[in-house]
Parts: sequence; C-alpha cells; structure tokens
Amino acid sequence: MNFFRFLTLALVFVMVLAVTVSCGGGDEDSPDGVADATQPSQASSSEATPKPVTKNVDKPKTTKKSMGDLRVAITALSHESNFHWIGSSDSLIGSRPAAEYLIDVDAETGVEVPMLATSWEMSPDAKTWTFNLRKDVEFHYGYGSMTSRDVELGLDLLRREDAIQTDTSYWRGVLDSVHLPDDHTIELTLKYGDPDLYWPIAANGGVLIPSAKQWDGGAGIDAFEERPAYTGPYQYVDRELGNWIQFEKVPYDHWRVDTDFDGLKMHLVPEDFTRLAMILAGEVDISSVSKTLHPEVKEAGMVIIPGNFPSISANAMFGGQYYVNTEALDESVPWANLETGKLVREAMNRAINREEIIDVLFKGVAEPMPVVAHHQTKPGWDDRWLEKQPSGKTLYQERYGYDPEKARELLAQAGYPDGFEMTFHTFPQSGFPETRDIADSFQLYFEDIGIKVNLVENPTLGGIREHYKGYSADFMWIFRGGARLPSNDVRVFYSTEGIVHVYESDEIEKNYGAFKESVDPVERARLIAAVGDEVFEEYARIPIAWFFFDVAVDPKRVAEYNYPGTITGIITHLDLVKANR
Amino acid sequence: MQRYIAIRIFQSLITLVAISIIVFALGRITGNPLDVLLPLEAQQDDYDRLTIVWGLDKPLYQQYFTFLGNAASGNFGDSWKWPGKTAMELVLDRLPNTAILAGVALLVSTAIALPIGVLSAVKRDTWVDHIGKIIALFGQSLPAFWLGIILIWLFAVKWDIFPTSGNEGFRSIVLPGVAIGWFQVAALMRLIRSAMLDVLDSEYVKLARIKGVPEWKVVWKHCLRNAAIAPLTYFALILGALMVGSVSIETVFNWPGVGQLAVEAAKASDFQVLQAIVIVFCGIYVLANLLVDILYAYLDPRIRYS
Repeated sequence: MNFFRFLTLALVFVMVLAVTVSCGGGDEDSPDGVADATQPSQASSSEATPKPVTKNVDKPKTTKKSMGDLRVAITALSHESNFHWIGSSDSLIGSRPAAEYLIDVDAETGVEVPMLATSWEMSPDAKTWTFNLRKDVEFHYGYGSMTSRDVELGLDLLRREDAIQTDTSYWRGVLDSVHLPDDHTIELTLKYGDPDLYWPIAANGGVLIPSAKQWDGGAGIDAFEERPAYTGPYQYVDRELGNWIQFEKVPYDHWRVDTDFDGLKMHLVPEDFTRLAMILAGEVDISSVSKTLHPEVKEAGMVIIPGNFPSISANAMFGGQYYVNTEALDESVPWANLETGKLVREAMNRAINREEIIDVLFKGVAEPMPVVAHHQTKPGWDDRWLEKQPSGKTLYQERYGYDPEKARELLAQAGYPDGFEMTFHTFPQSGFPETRDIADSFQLYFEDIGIKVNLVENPTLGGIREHYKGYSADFMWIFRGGARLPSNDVRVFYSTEGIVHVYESDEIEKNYGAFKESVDPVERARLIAAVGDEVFEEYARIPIAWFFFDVAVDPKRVAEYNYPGTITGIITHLDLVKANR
Repeated sequence: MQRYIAIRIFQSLITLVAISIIVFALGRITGNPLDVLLPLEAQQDDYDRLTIVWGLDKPLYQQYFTFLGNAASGNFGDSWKWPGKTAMELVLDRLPNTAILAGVALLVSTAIALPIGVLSAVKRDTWVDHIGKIIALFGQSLPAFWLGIILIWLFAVKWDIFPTSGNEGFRSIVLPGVAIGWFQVAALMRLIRSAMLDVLDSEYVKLARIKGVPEWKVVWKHCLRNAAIAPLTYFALILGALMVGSVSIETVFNWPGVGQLAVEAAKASDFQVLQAIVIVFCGIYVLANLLVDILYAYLDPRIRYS
C-alpha cells in the first residue's frame, strides 16, 4: 500500500511540476506597449568585429505615440532559418523586413526603382552590368557602412555549394566574375548577355545584401546565423523556429524610412482558421487569410487589402507534350497526340467555366490571363490576345470561352465521342489554398463533357516531380505560378533546358534560343511573345486567371498598407505600413 | 525479477531497431526530398550538386548504417528544412513543450474522469451515471481538432478569456490541454468506474459501513485507494499516447511542440527530423510500456519469465 501511496504522490508531483513550469511562459505582446526588451547582445568573438548595438542605446527622440510591434500572421515557411540562400523565394519573407536590395519594386507602380543602388548601366552586349551604390547606408548592430564588398557577398551566398534559393541556378549560370572598382561601385561580368538581369537582382529575387564585415570578421556564419546584419529599417532580434520571428526598429535614423511601429513580429501559423482567430481576437494586425474566410473577416470590421498587382498565375498543365524529345512522346495520351491532341486540348479548355471559378472561389477578383505568366506589365505581351473582335468578345474569350457543346463536338472530332479517362494531380501550394477546390471543379467540368477524371491528391509537388522531370507525365495537374518574367516561364516549362517539359516544340526551341542570343529588349520581347502566341494557339495549357494575393488588416491599428503583391513571399514592404494613430 | 527486467529491456531495444528500419524505409519511399525542396527553376546540375552535399548519392544500406551509427550517439543529422539546426536539437527543443501539453492534458483527463468515474460507480444506473457516460462519450466522439477550433472560437475570439494560439504562458496551455485531454476521459472514466464497482461490493467496505464510517470516507478513502491500481498503470500509457497524439492540436493551436514539428518536417520531406521524432516518440512509448510491465511484475509475482 505504501508503494501505491508513493506512486500516487509521485504522479501528482510530476503534474504539479509540469503546470508550474508552464506558468513561466514567453513574452506577452501588448498592442499598446513596446515588446519586452531583448537580452543584451552577446559580444562577438573577434576583436575586429564591432560589438552589436543593444536595443535601447541611442534611440532617437520621438514625439510619436508608440504603436508597439506590428504583428503579422503568415503561413508556415517552406524553409526557415537565417540562411536565406537555403530555401525558395517564399521563405525570404522571414528575412525581408530586415534586408534591402540594390533595386526595389515600387509598391504602387510595380516598377523597379533604385534602392541601395543609385543607378546602373548595362554594356551594349548586356554582358557587363555596373551598379553605383548609395554612400549613406548603415548596417545593423554597428557593422559600419555599406560597400561594394557587401553586394559581392550577397551574390556569393546565393551561389554557395549548399544554396537552393529560387535564383541560385540562374546566378550560377549567368555570373562569370565580380569586380569592385571602388567601395561604391560593383561590376558584374556575365557568361552571356542578359538585359533582364535587373529583375532577379531586384527585390523580385533573393539578392539580399548582408554585412561582409560580419562575415569576414571571424565569427562568420555563426554570427550571421545568430543575428544577421542587413540594412533595413527593422533589424532581426530573435526567432522561435516554427512559431515567430521578431524584429525591432533600428535605433538610429534610417536612410530611407522612419517606421511607424517599434518592431515587427511575424507569427508563423500553418492553420488558416487560427490565423483568422488571431486577427479577430486582436492578437495580430495583419493576417493572411484565405478567401473563403473573408466574410467572417469583414463581418468583424476588418479590411481586406489586395496587392496592387496580380501575383498568382493559376493554370492547369497537360503533361506529355514532348514534341522535341519525341522518343518520350506517348500518343495514346489524348491531348498529346500529334494529329488530334490540339482538338482535345481546345475541348478541355472550352469545358472550363473560368468566370464561375472566379466568382465562386475568388469573389470575382481576377484578371484575364490568355497565356500563362504573360501580363501587360511585362515584356512578352501581345495585345492581340485581349483585342476586341467583331463579335464583341476578345480573342481570348472567342478561343477559350466556356462552351461545353463545342467541347463535346471537338472531342468527337478527335475520335473521343464518349470521352476518355484521365488522371489529374493536385497538391497543396503555398499561398493558394483554393487548389483543391479548383481541381474539384475541373473534375466536374470535364465530366460534363464525358471525360472521367481520377483525382489524385499528393502531399507535395514531389509526388509528380520525377514524372515531369523524367518525361513520363501522362496526366494533368493544377499549378500556382508566380509573377515572374514570362521568359522564366518559357525556360522552366517549355524549353528543353528546364525540367518540367510541359510543352516543347522545335519552334519554341528556335525562338528561345534566339532570345538567349539577343540583347535587344524589343527583339527579346517579340520572341517571348512569339512563344506565348504558339502556346495560345496550341492550347498548350489551361490558363485560369491572374489572381491577387490579399491580407486581412485591422483598421484600428493599420491605417494604410501598400504592397505590389508580385514579389514572391507576397507580404512585403511591411516597413511602409502606416499606423492608425 | 532481474531476469524478467533484462529480457524486457532487450526486447525494447530490438523494437527500437526494428522501428528505425521502418522509419528509414518509409522516409525513402516517399521520394527524393530534393523534389520537394528544390524550386522548379532548379536545373539538373543543382540536383546533382545537392545530392552529393546531402549524402543522397550513397547506397541506401550505407545511408542506413550511417544513420544507425549516428543515431546511437543521438546524432540524427542536420535538418533540411531548418538549415543550421540538427534534427535532435530541434526535437529536444520542442519536447518539453509537448511534455507540458501532455502533462496538462493528463491533469484535465484525471480531473474530469476521476470524479465522474467514482460518482458513476456510486450512483450506478442513475441519471448521474448516465450523464457521466455522456460527458465521457462526447470526449471520445468529438474530433480533437474540431474541438480545438470550437474552443478557440468561444474562449479566445468571442469571450477573450484565453489566447488563440502560441505559447505565451500558462493561459496558452489551457485550451489545447482541454482539447487533447477530453478524449482520454472516456477510457479513464470507464476504468475507474469498473474498478470502483468491484471494490464497492467488497466485504471490508460492508464492514466499514457497519462500523459507521462516513460514506464519503468509505468511497474516497477506502474504495478509491484500492480501485486506483488499474488506472494508475494506465496513466503511463496515456502519457505516451498524449505526447505522440498531439499533432493535430499542436497545429490548430500553433503550439511549438514535436507534433507540429513532425507535420512541417513531413511536408518538407525532412527525413532527418522525421526519423529523430519517430525514434524519440517510440523511445518514450517503449519506455512507458517497459515501466508498466516492470510495475505489473512487481505487483503480481506470477508475471515472470521462467
């Protein structure tokens, strides 16, 4: 009996201990106060490296009412660490508040504008790019002024052996050498002429500018991992992996912006409902909430703010259109057949009621997308696609408009009067929770014209990757593209250089090859438009629409938030958020 | 008794090795992690480069023995989704949070199940008994993640009593603790009820009543003590189940525990972290079962290996 008494007491003790330990929790964020002060920074291990500046030293006097931290809830990141070169572009959101770029993307116009670079020049052959840098930019934690060596480091990090950033492949392929004529000039020599280099080096890409002094000063990667020094108006403080990332306003006059908030806390919350609950409960000021929950958001008095430009190029892909690597071509795949495939693809395009998808799933907010990834604001656009025809409709509407009757006729013409069976893959995609709903609607539309769909849900893109890489994709899949340059889309999806091989043809190889050789922007745009035209005429994909990313915002705390919405990672320009005072 | 313990420990080690093989194999069956982690813009030479950097070019059996050898010293390799962190570092960092959540859930389970179980037994077949069973049944029937969402909606959003999510102190643990703990109430309550029913009919209980001992003392002191043997041994198993079963609740409440870590690692095909989590959780379960078996052997001398 004594033993059991002891056991009971021991269990009760353990439970009480657990509760007691849990009573000591993390910091409580107060919306009206400043977040608790961080621990004083650790001194760096090298004498040559300046000691990091602690939070409350040399804070500029301000008469503005303290707004505390700007609190943002976003979904979980695909990669999470301060090593920004390891991870796709969306994971850069965890570093962007503290970092700056040579070139920014203007939040209102979407145009590339100077940031850390005051100007840049391209040689006539587009093989040499020279950037002139600002002289008044300071790094965090006392790591001194920005120089061209810091930009060189930014490019080196993206090309490290362990780098898997979205643009790593590009930079490894294009950059030949870097020359630093002086402390505020950097010259990039390329392996081939690339007039579009301004795009990936801008905020669109992942060329963040870290402090070379922090790296070269001895502590190197360890110091960077602990507290990466950048030049932004917020500086990194700490993170709890999978939970939050904390930034604080720099304790000096920033060269570019005086932020309205004292800090920034990003909550990483994988569950959509929980992000909704957080903004409704007043725990965050900005929250990424899916469109299906917008009614609840608006009912609670919150505001939905979309990006100024569309960012999601939603589409479905036909696998197997291997018209260059014809050994891999399987003509039994209805849409890949050389003779009748185009009829089938047109039929499947006409079976989709895009207006209905836009109205029901996206509350009517979308822009037409005649060719995937091509947009009026980017080179490679052809006005012809949205040109009004004598019928009153645009060419896109005439060729791709919802017409199930016509779709059935086309299928019959192609030799499928009773339809056929096919497989359609879907997988969760970051920033696009509507993926499954769209796949379900495609299934219904296809079944309406006699195509029986076997819908396969994959946990990740990895489930189908080996097929499209290996020229064995005999299925379709939904894809959420971004707002990158159309030439990138051509490289990845249409050229034999890419790994997706959605639609390949000798004509595209010719045009893309000429594009790579040319340095004339007008000619390059024409060639990419020509590829787009072929894709349009051949119904090579099923474009759905351009969609806008949006966030829910608490108007009691946020007066204004302007962001382009096109930069991967989406929630950018948080340093420009205006507080509601 | 020593022989029995030694054999059980040996069996536990064999179990862990078998689990390590299964975990390793299942992780590889899901596919190449580079297919998940690399962007679409990656070229073939990026695949080739990173295959070497991450050791994926080695034969599977070599990868396994490297893994096993390192695992024996607690080294499960570096995480791919959380670069700069080792797999074990991530798991050990999160384990206390999961243990705390499991502890609170156990407290909630016990706090609800104990009085209900006792009263159901004492007031057998009355409305008290029926209501007790319904409360317990609700816990087992309601999906934990759904219950979690409802609790957040009511207690965090509508009534602003508790935080919605995260780990911001004691208040943060109440809702997830209830969401997980309620599920175990049914099983615990039934165990206590049936144990109490056995004890309530005992001769010594009748004697205590005849001698004029107050009824509350008969029930709560004399009967419950003797009825507590089975539920107490069940606690060890519940604790293991609560720790490994917290995945959905940790996701809903954004609780920084091992369950949430497992979900994120699975999405990213982060083998190293997944292996570490499974081995650690299995280790906890195996240890809990081992302790229970030893406890039973101590209690009942008939349980031995001959």
